[in-house]
Amino acid sequence: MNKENLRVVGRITKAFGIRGELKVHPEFVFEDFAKFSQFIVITPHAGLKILAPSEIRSGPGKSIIMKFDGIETRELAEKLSGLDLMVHSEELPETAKDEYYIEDLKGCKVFCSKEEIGEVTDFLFQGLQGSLIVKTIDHKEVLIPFVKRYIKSLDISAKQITICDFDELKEINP
Amino acid sequence: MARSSKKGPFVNDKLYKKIMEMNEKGEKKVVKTYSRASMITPDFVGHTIAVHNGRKFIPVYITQEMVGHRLGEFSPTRTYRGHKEKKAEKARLA
Repeated sequence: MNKENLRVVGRITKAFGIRGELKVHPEFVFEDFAKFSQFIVITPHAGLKILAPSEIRSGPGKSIIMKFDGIETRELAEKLSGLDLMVHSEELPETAKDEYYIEDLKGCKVFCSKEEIGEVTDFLFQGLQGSLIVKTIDHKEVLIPFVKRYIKSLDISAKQITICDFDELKEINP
Repeated sequence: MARSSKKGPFVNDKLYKKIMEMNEKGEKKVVKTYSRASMITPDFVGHTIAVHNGRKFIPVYITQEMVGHRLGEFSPTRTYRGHKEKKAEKARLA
């Protein structure tokens, strides 16, 4: 199993009750989270382990209460507390229009007027908007606001982003 | 305590002057500022302001929803280095 393709979709916070149920802090809303057919966890001793949910319901606040096949007692459930629940990247729900998974943006080549500038290394959250952190060919870090004013086209399958006005963004942090 | 409404919102004079000059000329250049406490007014919408976070300038493209907030709110000063696993986080193209 390829660890590179795994994405964290939630975190097991603690055991819940005495029937082997677990309290989970999800990264998605309940409706999207309930669609996952199986989860992968990395345990400290056994390595990768596949968990199939048998019961799922919403818990207090934003949390979700889950039960997995083969986890029938609180003792077994406690061993899983603190672990990240992961799924394969192909199983992630489709994003809305103009919404992208950050892991998909990473590694995209950035072009400005058909000239390659560099590669996206990370994403910076700034509240209402964010910025792409681009490592340029001359090994400098340039921030490009993730807004339509600067991002002219974005092709995730081809891993290509076309931007404009790169020169003025480059001069912000010379 | 809230700022007196008689004084109006605080905006750094130098920054405000630069923005107003660009509005008159119809230009949209990136403006650098250290004034994180300046409030975003409707004149700023559509401009990109590079706000210093103590280490470097962070470009902030001003939109209508940001009006009334301070510039510093959009230029984070700390980097969270947790979560070594790849999270399924999303970014929205604004």
